[in-house]
Amino acid sequence: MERTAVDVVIDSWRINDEWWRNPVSRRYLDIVLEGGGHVVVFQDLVTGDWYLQKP
Amino acid sequence: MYIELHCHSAFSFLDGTAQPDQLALAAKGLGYPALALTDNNGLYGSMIFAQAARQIELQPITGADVTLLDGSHVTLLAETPTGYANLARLITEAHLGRENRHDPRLDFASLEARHEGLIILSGCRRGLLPTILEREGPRAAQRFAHRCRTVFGARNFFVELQRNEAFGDRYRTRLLGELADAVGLSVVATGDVHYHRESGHRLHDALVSIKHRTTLDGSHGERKPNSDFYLKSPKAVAERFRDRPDALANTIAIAERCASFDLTQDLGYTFPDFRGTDPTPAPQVLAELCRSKLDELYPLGSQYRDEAERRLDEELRLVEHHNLSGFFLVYNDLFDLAREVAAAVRAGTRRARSGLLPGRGRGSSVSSIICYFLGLSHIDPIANHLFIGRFLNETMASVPDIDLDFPREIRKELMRRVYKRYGDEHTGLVCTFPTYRLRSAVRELGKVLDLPAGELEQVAKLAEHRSAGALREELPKLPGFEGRIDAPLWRDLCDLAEEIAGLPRHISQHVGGMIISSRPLVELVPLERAAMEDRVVCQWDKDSCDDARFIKIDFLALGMLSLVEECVELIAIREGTPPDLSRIDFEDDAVYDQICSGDTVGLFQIESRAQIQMVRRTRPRNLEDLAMEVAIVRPGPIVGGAVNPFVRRREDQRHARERGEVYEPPLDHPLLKEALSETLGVIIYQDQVLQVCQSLAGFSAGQAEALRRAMSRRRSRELLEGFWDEFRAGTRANGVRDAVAERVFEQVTAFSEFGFPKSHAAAFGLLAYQSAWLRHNYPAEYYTALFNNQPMGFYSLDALGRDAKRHGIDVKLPDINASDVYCTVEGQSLRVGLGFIRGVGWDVAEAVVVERERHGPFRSLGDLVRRAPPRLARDGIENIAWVGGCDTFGLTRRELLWQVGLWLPPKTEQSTQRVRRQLELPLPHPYEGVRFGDVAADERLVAEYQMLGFAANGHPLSLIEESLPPGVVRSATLPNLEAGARIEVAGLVVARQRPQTARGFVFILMEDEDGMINAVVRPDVYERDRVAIRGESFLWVRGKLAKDDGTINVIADQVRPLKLRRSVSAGSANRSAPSPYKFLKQLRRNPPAAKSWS
Repeated sequence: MERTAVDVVIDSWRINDEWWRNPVSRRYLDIVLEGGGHVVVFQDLVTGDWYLQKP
Repeated sequence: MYIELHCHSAFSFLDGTAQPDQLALAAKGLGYPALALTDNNGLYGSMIFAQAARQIELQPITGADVTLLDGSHVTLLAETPTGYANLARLITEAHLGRENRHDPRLDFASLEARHEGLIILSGCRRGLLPTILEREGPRAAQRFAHRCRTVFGARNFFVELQRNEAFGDRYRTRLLGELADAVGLSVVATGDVHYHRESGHRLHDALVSIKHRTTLDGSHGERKPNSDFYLKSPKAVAERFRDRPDALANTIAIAERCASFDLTQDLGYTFPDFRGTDPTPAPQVLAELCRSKLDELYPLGSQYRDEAERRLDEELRLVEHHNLSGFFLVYNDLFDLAREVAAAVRAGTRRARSGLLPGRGRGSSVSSIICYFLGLSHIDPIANHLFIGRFLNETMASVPDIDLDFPREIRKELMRRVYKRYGDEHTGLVCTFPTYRLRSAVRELGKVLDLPAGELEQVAKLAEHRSAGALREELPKLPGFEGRIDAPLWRDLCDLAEEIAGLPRHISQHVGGMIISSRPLVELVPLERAAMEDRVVCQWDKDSCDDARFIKIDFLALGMLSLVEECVELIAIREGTPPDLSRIDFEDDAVYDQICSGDTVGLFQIESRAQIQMVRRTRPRNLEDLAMEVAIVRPGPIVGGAVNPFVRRREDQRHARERGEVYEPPLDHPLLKEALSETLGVIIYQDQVLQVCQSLAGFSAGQAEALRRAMSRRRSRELLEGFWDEFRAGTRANGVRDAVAERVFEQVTAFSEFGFPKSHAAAFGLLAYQSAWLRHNYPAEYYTALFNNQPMGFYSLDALGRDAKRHGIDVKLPDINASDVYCTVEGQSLRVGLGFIRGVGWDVAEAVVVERERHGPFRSLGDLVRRAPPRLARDGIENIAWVGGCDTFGLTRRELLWQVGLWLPPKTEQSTQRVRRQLELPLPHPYEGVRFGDVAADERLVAEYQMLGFAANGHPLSLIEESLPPGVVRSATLPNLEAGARIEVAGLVVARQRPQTARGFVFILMEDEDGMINAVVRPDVYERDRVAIRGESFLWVRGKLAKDDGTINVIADQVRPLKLRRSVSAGSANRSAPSPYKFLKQLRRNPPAAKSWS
């Protein structure tokens, strides 16, 4: 994936769910990239991996 | 830096997971100087919180998260005593002003009208301003903020900002901040805390799912989005709000303002003043009242006169010392009110002339001579050597408890009259908070985890009744669940059960505690509607009321008093005059012989399986013995190890007496002689705990009072154990060896469990004797009253009916032309009432009886169908026929059931009421002459269990006697067998118990045609045969016969469901003869009632 610098973090939030099945724990970031791109990414707080949320 | 002002405890009911004291401790640990508790629409946990916080020097702030009419929330904090009073009033309005008592909501206009002394925060995400912002946009929100500023003032209304890493938090708090700035309001940061540590989010998710009656998957939209709603450190919160330091600073400012109100000190409760007709001071009025009674009850020259005078002087001195004269006089007024109520309830009855008291004292107040003189107690405290210190002493810190027992109907009316006399705003019932136990936790948490309902029910049924936290230990012991504790979801169930243990589920009504206040009670504690109509409960339980120094008046309903009332009435009907129970022969050998033989089923307090075994060995022969008897089978003496020594010493005492010798009971130390001689060296009564501490450890009156208070509190074991150092210091000073001190102290701490004061035992012992006297002399009346006053006591109607038979009282089935609504006496028989038949009910039964009394007996089934009230549905008529209620028409039950079908349409066509099909003319039906044979004996028995819940005639075992396993011996044979014999017995389970005090032993009381059989099951046998022991109605037990001074037990080594011999069990060639297998199977579907695991 191409690396792009973050311009602004509009919002960030966290979810914890389904702990009784396969725990889901994620930190989401709603960000504007340099150049104007708008994406939502999240980090899986269980594995530490980062993901791009599909629009 | 930051103080948390928005915090929920478990008293937000299914919206918080921490106990108030856990929150206080956690806050202190995190370095908070203050913490606000803001539970949903209530101050349920506020006193517990305030007390706990004060103890650890944390400033408690009292508040609530109140729901408004539109469903939005607002956070209210009490700044001043007036603010607290307003808060309590507003919460009360939110509860009492609603039709649905489960959905409290407050009109915002009420808050606008009554906000003095309150600091108002705009609420959580579902709060006042965020809701308007979301629904109507920023302009509307701004307009509303303006209005709040105008009404409440900028100093008292704060815009709440919450950042819990939830989606939209940043945006919302930015908008709210801007809005506040724009209208000149201040902002305040809060954490919306719902659990004290982060891991609590799982239980919170589960609780929210329980609240919404769905699974975790189904509650996605209702649950919090993440685990951030815990109590964070001030530093962590400050970090989140570093862009709004004013929001942080305001938390400190608000906390400082709220410091001027202290819930533990500033309530201002006062008991209603005594208002005499003349200005005579209350102490004088009380003294005059008592002295007039002194002459009446202890005439000059009588045996106890001098002691009574001394006791009265001492009590009056203590009463004046504590300024309690008015308190006693108000009680005197209340008891006068009770007399009026009793007279009204009994008006027109024959027992009105019986001299029955309106009610009776119980508890420690029975030891007071003042209570005796005022009628609040019926036991002579001098003649019975009752110790006053438990009730009144020099150093007591709270007002004494006066508990009163009443017959149910008198109590009901009395409570209504108390509301009327003191006013609705001044009166409320004390509440209780039922907590999660193992069974409720398994059912509710299992459901939210979506575990199979059948398996959950199995666990709930097979597991012991104990703390929910024990599930992890319990589960592997259950057949079929051995490996579950590590299985997915079951593991979560165990974790959650551990956390939920002891959390309050909801508010409920205390058995009888009432608070009366001269200042409106609604300003001291919020009130809300109880489940029972016309009852209002306050939001504090007895401990919080005690902490608030409220005076709790216990009006308790005692079923046995209702039974006595009815029994006396029935005797008066038979004999013309009622017996005066205060003047009966209290030394009647025949009555004591019956008690000593263990024939006590249906008697007050001495009827349980354990008591039956006990009385056979202790052999009470007077009221004092009976008082000990009712007191000893209680957790306090049992855990303290008093029972076995007491029983052995009673036997030794009896044998010594037979030899003409004086018996000296062994004592742990000579200093205990005065306190424990009477009870043969063991502690049986609560008062003895105090006496022991005073005599052995030299406790001062103040220490004894502190001990007394500790005994009656929640977590009393830890509190009592806290006295060890003082106790040991005292015993050492008295030269008592440490080993002896430890042994005695163990008995002392055992009284953290329930125990009786002697005065209470004396009151109950007397009633036990009166019940025995009534049953001995008037068995028909007694059993009739016993049937009519169920549920009460230890036995089911089934067992009571057979016990009646053993006393020569025939239990007659209902008869449509002879039965009343309730049971009635017919010579030496008991006629079962129509109201007892399933599907009929009390109201319909009454209508049937009224019709019969107006227009004469029913002449036929058709006549009954025509004349009975339409509310008597076809099911009801069939059930009456099934249990012989229509036998009077001279037809077999099959013929009667056939006729029901002729006169009434099939059940599928009818509603709950009966539908008539052209029945107005009393013409015969063309097919009503068709003849059928009668129902078989086994069918009758099954029908009786199904329709009445008990069998009036015959024992189920009689119908399968021929098919019982070979070698089974009957109960009547057991006395003739040698102790130690290996035997097999079979019977119907009457009761099963696994007392927590019995170290895992289980006691089963079974019954065969001849009588009762006691089986004792060791823990290892129980673990192996648990399914049968817990679930089966008919058991076969193999074991060893044990005999001990009149008691007979089967020490079981195998317990199985009753299995029949294969050769005869399939039924005979005659199709109409009962099949034992089929019969047992049918009975399993309609099992006879047993009192289980109580």
